[in-house]
Amino acid sequence: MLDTQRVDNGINQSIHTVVGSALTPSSLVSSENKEGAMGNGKAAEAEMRKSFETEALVHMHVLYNSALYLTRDPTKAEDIVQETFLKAFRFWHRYERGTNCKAWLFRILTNTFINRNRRKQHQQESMDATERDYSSALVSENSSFYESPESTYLGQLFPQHIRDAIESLPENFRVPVVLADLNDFSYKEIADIMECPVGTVMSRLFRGRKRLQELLFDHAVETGIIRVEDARDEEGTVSLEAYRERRKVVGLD
Amino acid sequence: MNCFDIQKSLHVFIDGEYAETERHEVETHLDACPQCRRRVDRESTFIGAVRAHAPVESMPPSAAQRLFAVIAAEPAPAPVIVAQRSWWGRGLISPRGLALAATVIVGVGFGLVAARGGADDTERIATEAIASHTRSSPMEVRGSSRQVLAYLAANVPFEVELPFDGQADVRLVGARLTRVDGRDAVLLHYLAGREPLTVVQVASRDAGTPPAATTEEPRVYSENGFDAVTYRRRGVVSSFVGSGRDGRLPALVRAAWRP
Repeated sequence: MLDTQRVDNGINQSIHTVVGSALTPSSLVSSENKEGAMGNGKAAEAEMRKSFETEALVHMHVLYNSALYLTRDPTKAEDIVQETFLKAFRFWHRYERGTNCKAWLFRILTNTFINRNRRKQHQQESMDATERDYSSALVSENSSFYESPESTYLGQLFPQHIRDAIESLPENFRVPVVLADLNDFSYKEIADIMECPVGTVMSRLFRGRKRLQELLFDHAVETGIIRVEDARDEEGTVSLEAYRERRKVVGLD
Repeated sequence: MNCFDIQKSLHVFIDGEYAETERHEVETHLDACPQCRRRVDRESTFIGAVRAHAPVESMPPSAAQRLFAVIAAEPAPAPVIVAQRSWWGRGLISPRGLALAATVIVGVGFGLVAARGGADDTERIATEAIASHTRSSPMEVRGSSRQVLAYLAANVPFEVELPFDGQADVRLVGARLTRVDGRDAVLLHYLAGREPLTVVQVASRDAGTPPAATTEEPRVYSENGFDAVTYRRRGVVSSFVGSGRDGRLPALVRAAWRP
């Protein structure tokens, strides 16, 4: 049975949908009432800007903080935060009001950061395994690193050391560590933000934190918080850094 | 759960990412195993110390002012209309062939019915597919179709389908794992002639619905000058994005679509 009318309506016309629950019928400009349309347009814009301010811009400080860790430079950080909010503003209709705005913004920020870095020719931070002076087993077995926080390294974890350590992580590790430990996102949220599977997130986060431990341990030995003599693993091998320290102390270098 | 299992996934436990039953299993083990207990305590202490002592910076007031100014100066975007055209409408309708029109009615009717349940789902996927196409991400796997399929199959919880297997002039360049609409997904990168063609595939959200409802005809979603031809089959949504200028996309997707 041919219903030509239905065929015409269904096929020849475009089925228009307005994207996102944010837009209400009143914000669509009606061609019938031009005067009303103008009023509607202005009111709609004001409403949109207000909601952007209260829902999105409110996250600017946490975004800036993370951008600083990622870019390692205040100018670059401001730059990508601006670009992030501009993109967010242009695609505000795409965001579902009341859902996870912070995660949505971080997704834009992370993509912006990664794309910018990709354009750089040389990799400044390709730290490979051989650069490590010591094994991670050494770190986890060292009791002075962990026990009684008040008197040992972790209790004296100087904030600047942590920043330096996070900032020197390779990008692949830095991003999940920033997302998990500076922002408390869940694995699923991080996966959505980084656009990779949850398994990848877990692996990179684990390795990133391990690398962080090693860096901070190295710092602890360097600054003398952990005594050089204690920087020795079960086999009796000493970390390279600790070895250097000992040589300095004894006056060989 | 033994010590090896616990050690492999210390952070999953510490981050509170385990479900109820698994977490209980770990806790039971920790109650009985001082070594693992110590390991967990140390890792917890370390992560906690980093979180507590990592310096926090606020945006300087001058930078904040500049940001507000930039946003204020940005024109408010016009409400974006996403045109959802049934793909049958792409110049197919002509007076000739009642038989053709008859099939079309069935097609449209079916398409409309199916679309109601899953429209939001496929639309979001189409949007993300368009975004993925314009952002060139590195491939994780290259090689023969078999190698690519093997890699993808091992990493996603749905059956990946390579839509252009055996089609001349459409070459699979590589693939990567990605995340679309809150789920693990795959991105296939093809070259149709010399034009890049992106296919994003992800499992439908609606598990447990009758098979008929997990099939949805190809629909065209347009945004930002790109078309994403998207269909759902056997519970998997595939979204095809080609170059904005390439008129071959509907024909290619038609070839790939075999209900």
